[in-house]
Amino acid sequence: MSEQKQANLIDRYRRRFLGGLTAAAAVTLAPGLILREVQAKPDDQPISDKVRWGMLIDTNKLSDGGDGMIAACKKEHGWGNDPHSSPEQQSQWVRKVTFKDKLTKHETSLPVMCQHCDTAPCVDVCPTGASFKRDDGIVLVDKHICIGCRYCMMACPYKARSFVHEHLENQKPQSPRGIGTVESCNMCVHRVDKGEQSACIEAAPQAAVFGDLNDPESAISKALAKYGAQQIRADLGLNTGVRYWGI
Amino acid sequence: MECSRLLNRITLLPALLSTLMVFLLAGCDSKPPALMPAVKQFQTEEQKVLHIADMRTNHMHRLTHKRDETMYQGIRTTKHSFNACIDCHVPAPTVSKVVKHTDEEHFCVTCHIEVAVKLDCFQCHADRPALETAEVVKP
Amino acid sequence: MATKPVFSELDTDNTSFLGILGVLGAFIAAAAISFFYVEHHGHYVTGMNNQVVWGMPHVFAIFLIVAASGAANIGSLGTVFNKKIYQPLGRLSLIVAVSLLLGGLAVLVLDLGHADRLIIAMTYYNFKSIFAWNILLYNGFLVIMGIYLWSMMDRRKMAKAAYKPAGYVGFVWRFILTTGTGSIFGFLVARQYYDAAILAPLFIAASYVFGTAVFTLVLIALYKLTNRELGNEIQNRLRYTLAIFIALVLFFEIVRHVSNLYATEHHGVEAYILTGGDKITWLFWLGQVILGSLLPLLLIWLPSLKNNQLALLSAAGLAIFGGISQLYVIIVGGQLYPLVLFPNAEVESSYYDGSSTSYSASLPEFALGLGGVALSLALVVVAVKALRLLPETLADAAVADE
Repeated sequence: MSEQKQANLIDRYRRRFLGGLTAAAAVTLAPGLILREVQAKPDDQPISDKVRWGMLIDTNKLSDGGDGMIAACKKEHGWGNDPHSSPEQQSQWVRKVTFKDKLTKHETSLPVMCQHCDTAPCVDVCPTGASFKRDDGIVLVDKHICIGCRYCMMACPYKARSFVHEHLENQKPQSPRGIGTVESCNMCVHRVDKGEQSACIEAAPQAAVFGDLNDPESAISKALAKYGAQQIRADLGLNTGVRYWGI
Repeated sequence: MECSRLLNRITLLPALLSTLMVFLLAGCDSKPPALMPAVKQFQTEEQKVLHIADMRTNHMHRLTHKRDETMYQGIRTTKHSFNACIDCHVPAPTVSKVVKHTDEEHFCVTCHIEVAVKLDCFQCHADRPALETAEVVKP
Repeated sequence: MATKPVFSELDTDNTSFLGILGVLGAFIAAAAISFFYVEHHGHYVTGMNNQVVWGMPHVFAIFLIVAASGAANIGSLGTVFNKKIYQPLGRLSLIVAVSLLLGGLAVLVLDLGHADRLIIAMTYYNFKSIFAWNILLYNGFLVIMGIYLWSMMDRRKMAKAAYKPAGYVGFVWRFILTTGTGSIFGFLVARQYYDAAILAPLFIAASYVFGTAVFTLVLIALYKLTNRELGNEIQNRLRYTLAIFIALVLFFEIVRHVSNLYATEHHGVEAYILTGGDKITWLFWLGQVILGSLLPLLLIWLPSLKNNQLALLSAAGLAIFGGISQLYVIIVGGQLYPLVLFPNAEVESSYYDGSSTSYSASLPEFALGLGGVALSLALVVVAVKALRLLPETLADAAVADE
């Protein structure tokens, strides 16, 4: 038992080490593939549970630690400048988190947003079912039936959810958001349904891949199968749809 | 003094009845208010008449149905899409004029004020076409 | 020998009755104004934010809901455990329980981001959510307590037959209800301070403390108001019930904190609550432990204070203060401590990762919470005025000797 544990540890160490080195090679391959990555479904067809959308972000390749991705998200969805809300009350669909290992002092920055968990705590706790996971793995809030109880915000391990504290004006047509409801990263679901990829991915093509985790032939699946990747708080066993290299 | 005497005289029942009468009378006047014309017009008069007849009675059902299809199944066709309604029925914002959902002339709001039904769509949804769309729609 | 208790309505003069209702009504009006104020502007006018999403209203709401379950305990003691001395208090116990629950739910519901969509909470259910279950548990509690009360008050045979079953169902339901309320926090895997099954029994024990304390205050106040006799026998029973459960809550808290301290991953949050968190640390040690638990225990068990009503009143009041402190520490303190995304690392971000945030309740939040308390009390006052709930005497000679 302990031997196996030891072997696992070494294995993990090795993977991490190799991952760092080879990540570069893998992702430079990606941009060419990305455009064909997302198959457009016909507009009038429902989404399918055969697909599971996911993202892979290589933090080593993010020279700005994710600032560009965050700016793209703000532009796409229009959050972050609600006039009355204090900084603590502002919505934050995605944020740049920097962490420094206490022993090695190694510093890493990464964008943290909704991780689109397979077994999402926010979906489990929502009393009305407003917080739900689409068949294709995207976790959303149905603001039509959200009563604003904020239990999902209590339950989310990533602080990915925000509550809108005031009346809003002039929202983006593609991204409705409003008072008294909870919101979070929706993986740019309006783009995904049209066969495009998320705004943040487009802003960082050198470091991020978007694709179908269930399709073994997709670039993201190939990269994951070959090099593995980390989840934030993997200990919770949530099987996240957003994976990282270099954390 | 006089005021309180007056209040005493008005008992609950007549007050209730007269309020009810006001509502009943308001219901009798079924002439719809003048609405803002749509940006795009139908090709034929027949299409237009059918559209108006359908939407006058069914727009809420159409929107709710479409809302759940879009929300849960990702079906984003323009038919009965909220944004498509707005793009056509609300003028695009210009430098000098922006029609908002707080204005009485806003297509949805004109009628909803008339029938006294509160609208909370615009708490979240955009109440006017986006600028990009606006440029496309402009002739 | 005890005689059959005679129940009668509140026989006080109208001035004091209306006076009390007037004061409570002012608090309720303040809460109503606060609700409309927050509803009109949005939650930015409160102290709550996206780091501390549940604040003072939730502290009050959960206190009232948990206390409701405990207040019904007096009824259970009479019915389920057949303690004759508690039986005359059964009716009041149930009315206090129902009123506390309604007050708590009102606060909870009025703090929603979309209180206008309450009907959705009643029509869409996600049965994996403990919240959804709680909606059913709370509504069920009201129905069961209603039937239970009817079985106590109606003289018909059917009512008599329903008395025991209703008492048992109510007893079990209360346990499930408090477990459900404790599980709201116990099921949160994400937060360091929650995610422990012990929160459910802790809430059950706490419910007895809150409920007994509130019931004691209400009982003594009503008997003072009506000039009815309240003997030492009853008061001493309440006194010791309170003490036992204060001790039990302390025991669960010790177990919880010690087991947390044993696990390295929880050292951070324990250090924050127990030693480092300013207001939270003070509330824990001074509010919950010293003033809210040790001092009431002292007031109850000091031999020289036996049969001293003032000591009992102070102990009950302090226990309530301790309870509010305890819930504040759990609810707000648990959220002030940051989520741990990367263990073993120093974390920072533009959104308060890696550092504890701050929260101070705004006036509307206080007003809403106090309004819930006032609503509960007002319901009790109206109920005892309209219904025959209070025994005409609870003098030592009148209550059953076991």
